[in-house]
Amino acid sequence: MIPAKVDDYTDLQKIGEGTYGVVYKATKISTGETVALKDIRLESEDEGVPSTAIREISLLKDLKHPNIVRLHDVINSDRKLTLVFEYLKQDLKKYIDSCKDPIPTRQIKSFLYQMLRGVAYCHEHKVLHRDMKPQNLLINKKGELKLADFGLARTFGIPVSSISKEVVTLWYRPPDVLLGNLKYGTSIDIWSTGCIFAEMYIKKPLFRGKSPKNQLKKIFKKMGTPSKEAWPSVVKLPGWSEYNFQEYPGKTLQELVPTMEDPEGFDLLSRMLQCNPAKRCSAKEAMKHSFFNDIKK
Amino acid sequence: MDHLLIKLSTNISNLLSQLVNLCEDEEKDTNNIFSVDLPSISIHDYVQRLVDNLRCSQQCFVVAIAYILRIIKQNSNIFLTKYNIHRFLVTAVMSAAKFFDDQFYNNKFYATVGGIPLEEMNKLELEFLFLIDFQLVISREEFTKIFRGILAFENKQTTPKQPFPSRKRKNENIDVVVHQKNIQENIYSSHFQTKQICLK
Repeated sequence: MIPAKVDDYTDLQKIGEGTYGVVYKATKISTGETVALKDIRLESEDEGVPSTAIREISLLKDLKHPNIVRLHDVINSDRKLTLVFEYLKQDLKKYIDSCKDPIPTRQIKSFLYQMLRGVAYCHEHKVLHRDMKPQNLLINKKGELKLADFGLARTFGIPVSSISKEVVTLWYRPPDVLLGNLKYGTSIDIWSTGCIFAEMYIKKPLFRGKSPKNQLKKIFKKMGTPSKEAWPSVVKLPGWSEYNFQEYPGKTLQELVPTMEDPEGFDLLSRMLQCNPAKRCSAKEAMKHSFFNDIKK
Repeated sequence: MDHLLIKLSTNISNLLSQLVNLCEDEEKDTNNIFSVDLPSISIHDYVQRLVDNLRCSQQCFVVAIAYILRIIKQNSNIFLTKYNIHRFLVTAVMSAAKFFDDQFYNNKFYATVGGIPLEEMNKLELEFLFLIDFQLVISREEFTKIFRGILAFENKQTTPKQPFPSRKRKNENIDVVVHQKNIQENIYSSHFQTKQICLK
């Protein structure tokens, strides 16, 4: 196989700035196909290839699914790596911001279902995404939605002792992880997905904290401070005694997401936004929920 | 150091030594940046040095062996020799740590412990990632197999000295490949059962 070159692509247009470099829209000369090129500068001598890039490339080589962004190629050229991705026009964040009217329920159902299908596939393949948020979900004109940005993802097939709690963008981070739970599993992505589910209705993030402690306070004020009865192991988490939150009664989901209206939707949302990770539903279970009965699967 | 780690590091040195002995007659491959003048430190001492100083999770050493075996399997022109084994090993452990561990040290640290200039370490990393085609995912099943295989590995010199023609003489590297593959298969098919196969 002939290694791919940057010269194979033309019409480069800058479309964004990633963590490690510029992202371009480009055309593959030989096929006319539109792609996204993500540059990873290898400038830091001490760091070498960023571990986020190593993870993203290795995991995406393994994950091939209609709801996960496809990595076509990796190009090694002078002092940088270029990742060649399939091109999708927009991310969910920009889509939500661009909608003046409420997003139609049918559309929300379709996006949520596709999100869950992508997450379920990751979990089946023993991968945690760990950074689910609207900015990392790409959509196209056909209404397809794909999970992107696997830089924080990890596999959980092998028991590893080095696990970080600094995962998931604060607003989408689940309460158990905020309290210092290092034994998290697939439920970490379900909480984030639940937050995005609500966000598609209210068109702003559900919990917008400024620090981990403040984030927890926002969550408990809305969802109610969890009781030891409902979540016995919470007392063992380091943040529980450290923060010592007062007992907020919480609000109903109907108050938090007034535009939802659909009782099936509230039921599904309540299963995803469980403070106790053991009580959160799995992606597969969520996909079977009656909320999705009337959509094409 | 706990008992399991001692066993792991001893068996890894024995395994790598045996793989390298199969290519005793191979010369330094000047086209391969992993291949350098014969390092003064023995394989055994090098493994020990990495185990003692690299503060990555222990699993990374097992994963590193899986990566090295993958590379020789996927690249028919690459054999493990006394000229390249040191560099392959430290680069494999580093790649494993950067992929699996959430807290890991940077390349500078690996270069220092591995005794390799930083700039070289960075080149080795890139070369390594492309040689393995970025396939760093290891299933639990494969991990368990390799782990058991390493723990069960017996340091027998089963390798006859004679039948390996040097690349120069016959250009029949296929023998070497076959024999390195045999060891690889032994590692994978080990039926040795250990009671405690889970590294905490």
